[in-house]
Amino acid sequence: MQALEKLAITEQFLDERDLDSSAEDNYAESDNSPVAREYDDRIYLINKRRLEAVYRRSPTLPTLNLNAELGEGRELKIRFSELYTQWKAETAGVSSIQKVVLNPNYLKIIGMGKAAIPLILNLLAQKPDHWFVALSALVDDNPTTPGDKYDEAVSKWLKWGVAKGYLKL
Amino acid sequence: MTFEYLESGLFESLTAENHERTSPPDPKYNCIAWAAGFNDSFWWPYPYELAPYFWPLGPQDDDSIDKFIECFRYLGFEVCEDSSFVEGYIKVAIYIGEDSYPTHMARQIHGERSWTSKLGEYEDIAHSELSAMECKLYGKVGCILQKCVA
Repeated sequence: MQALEKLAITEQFLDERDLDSSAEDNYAESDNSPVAREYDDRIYLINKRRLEAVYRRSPTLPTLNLNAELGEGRELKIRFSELYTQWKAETAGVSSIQKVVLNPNYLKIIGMGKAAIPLILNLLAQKPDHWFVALSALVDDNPTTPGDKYDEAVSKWLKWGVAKGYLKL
Repeated sequence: MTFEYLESGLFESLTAENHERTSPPDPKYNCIAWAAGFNDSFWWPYPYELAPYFWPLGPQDDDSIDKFIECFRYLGFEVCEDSSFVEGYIKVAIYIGEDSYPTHMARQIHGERSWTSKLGEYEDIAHSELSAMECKLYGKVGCILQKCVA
């Protein structure tokens, strides 16, 4: 991952004029702020796309296994974050649980497979949301019992996540 | 002061004059539970038993308006003609979208002419008219039911 960032911003591969200066304009002072993280993700994806293009054009550079070299976990988090943001935007104000969990972005998160479980549980611990259908589909398990209220269901899923090693509290 | 539900642009008919915010945002209950008088559960007809989703009549194969009428009849309501205030009665309204499927419910505040709605995961509001909740997302009122509370 670091290798990618160093390579991609090296003049050997990049024209200075291609750098996305608008992203820098939005850069936040705190490294932990959502804007700063978004900035990091944008730069990461921009650099990755450029590096891929360089490798495609070059007759001398070897084939690059991007997932192995660049960190699949980060790509997964970025993908999850994009889908989550889009899902929330498209289901805000919706009361129908069917419409909430059949939203294409929600289904794509389920489609990410078991790798999405820790991401979902971490988010559930921070901000309760309608992850119950996704979790029960992904793990083929259900620690809740019919009639559990919202807080009880959240609590049981978080305990389940800790017990199964998906979540560290 | 502005609130996220107003800034969302989802509720076109809401104005500063026709409603009042009555709770903070809360994802733990929805408008159907709120219309039935509960603020600790999430009601919607769903095909499987999966907490915290709840339907008083158990799992349902579809979420048509008939299921909602059946449920509120079970809770003691009966279909009525209009939304006018009647002393000793409480009324609920089922909103339906263009496909005639339910989208939202509002409840007449006990002893008052105004209504209360829970806006998805946003706040509860009190609104003077049912038309205040008519919008692209919620459609329009499809059915009114009433229950004697005298």
